[in-house]
Amino acid sequence: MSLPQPVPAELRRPVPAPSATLEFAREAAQGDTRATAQLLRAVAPLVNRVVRAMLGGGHPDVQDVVQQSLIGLVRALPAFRGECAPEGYAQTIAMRTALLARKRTRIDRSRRDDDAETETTPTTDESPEETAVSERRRSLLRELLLEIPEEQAEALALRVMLGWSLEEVAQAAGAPLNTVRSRLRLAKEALRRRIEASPDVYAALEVGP
Amino acid sequence: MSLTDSKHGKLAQLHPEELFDKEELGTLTSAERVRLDAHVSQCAACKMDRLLRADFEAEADERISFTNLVEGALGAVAKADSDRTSAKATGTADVVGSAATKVESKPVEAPLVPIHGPAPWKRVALLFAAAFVLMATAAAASEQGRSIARKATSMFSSSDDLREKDLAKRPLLALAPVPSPATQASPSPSSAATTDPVAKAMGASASGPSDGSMPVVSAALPRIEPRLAAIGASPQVHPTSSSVHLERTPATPGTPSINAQPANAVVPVVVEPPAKVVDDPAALFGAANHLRRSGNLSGALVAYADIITRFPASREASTARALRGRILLEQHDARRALAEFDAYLASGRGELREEALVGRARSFGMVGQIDAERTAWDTLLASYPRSASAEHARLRLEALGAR
Repeated sequence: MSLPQPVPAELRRPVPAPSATLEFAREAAQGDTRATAQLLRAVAPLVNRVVRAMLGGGHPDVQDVVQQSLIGLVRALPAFRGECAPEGYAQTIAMRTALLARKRTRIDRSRRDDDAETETTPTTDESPEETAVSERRRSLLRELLLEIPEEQAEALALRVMLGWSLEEVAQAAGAPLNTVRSRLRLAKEALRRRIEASPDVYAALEVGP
Repeated sequence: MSLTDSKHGKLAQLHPEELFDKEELGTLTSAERVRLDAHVSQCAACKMDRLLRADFEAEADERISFTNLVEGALGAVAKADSDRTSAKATGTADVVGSAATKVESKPVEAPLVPIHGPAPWKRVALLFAAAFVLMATAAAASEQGRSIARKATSMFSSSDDLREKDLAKRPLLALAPVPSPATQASPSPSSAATTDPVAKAMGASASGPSDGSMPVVSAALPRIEPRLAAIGASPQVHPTSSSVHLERTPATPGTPSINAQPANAVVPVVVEPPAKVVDDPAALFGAANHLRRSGNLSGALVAYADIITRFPASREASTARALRGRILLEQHDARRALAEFDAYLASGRGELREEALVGRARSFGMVGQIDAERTAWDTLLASYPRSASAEHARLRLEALGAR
């Protein structure tokens, strides 16, 4: 198996120019309803992306969690000091909300057998086999995120799901860079253990000398 | 090569995160790319990392309209704010709801439900009452004044009739009794009835509220009371404005429906249409879950509490306990969360036992009860050694140290 090719940077960061949304965020933090609506419209696609990544595209609660994340953002706006991009602020909130929602889903699923979690595969040009392997990887990561400490889960998710840099993760977490490095190291260690425990995933990765 | 090989382990622990960042930015040099590829080819976690980035990128390209979601979020925030404001205004805020809103931020939008101030007719009534007292006092000072007092009494009665007729014409949505905690807690000044209204009027003094609003003339009340009693209302002291508000309250348990006699109503209170009574705990539970999922946590807390109160022996009630615990814990109300988790565990049901045990441990941690937290994590690990929280429990126990 060949090495996976990185995603081009221009495709990975569909974040709009921050100046406009930053202004919206500042005005919204002051209670401007119109600015709040504009801000939500600007960040909703990004929030949606995070939630879909966390829950899976076909999860029945995606829209609920997106809306819940937007509500969380409005609630958190008074604490927003404009020191980071509102998009990142919104995505971090969405990440936490989705992580929580996923935990709840798992609990609900254990409580009600008929409420099985739905994970659908995206429509891509991949073959069914590639799609299944891809979904298996995502599923493994999503499960892992529920099992590791929240800080590690957040750092790993922001890196892997959104492609954030170390600095961006550190800023979002409000933690020093070395702390984020440490969290990522621990998270990746947990990921490695998880891969080892999943022979199919490990075999598909074809790692080794 | 075994994955547990020490050399491999060391390599895997040195994940070149900076090189991943450079790769993202497109600033990776040839030498750095060789290094990164060499690492990725041997590190399962980093190879997985790179593959997952591409996987999620492919999953993300969805173009949908977010208008409804945005409007829904704005509406939910506005409604939560208005609910909170309304509860504050009526003084009937649920203890659960009030605790739930403690952690909420300031409202971003004006409440949708208008908060009504004192109606103009109330001011007119108070003016008449004040005028009456002045005249009654003057009348008591002289023999001739007694006839003036009688005239004043009749004048007041006329104005009262007019006021009632005016009220009957008001376009009210509904007329409902308004509970008044302040009045219920302490008897109204007027309830200390004296047998001679004129003597009471002479001994009365106008009390002025500190907020600068219109003074309350308690001496006028004995004259009003018989008329109020006839229509089933009693004078009450409003808890916020400290002025007299004539609010209708049921005089006896057998008092007829207020809606059936709108002309007799004293206080116009705009209320929502009566909600359909649901007696199905499953339906209530579903509605409460919907509130929770839509972000209305204070509403969900109240809804779950309602299920617990109305159907204490139901399965939904015990689950509601655990869910209340979860919400309260999220709101950092650890003590109340703890009580809910304990109640759930005491119910003997097991579906959410694992979560309740985790919640207990986290609650103890939040309130700083280290020994109790340690015991709670131990209990969790003993009961659910393969729990999703087991690793966190072990880390936490390590952090807490030995006893």
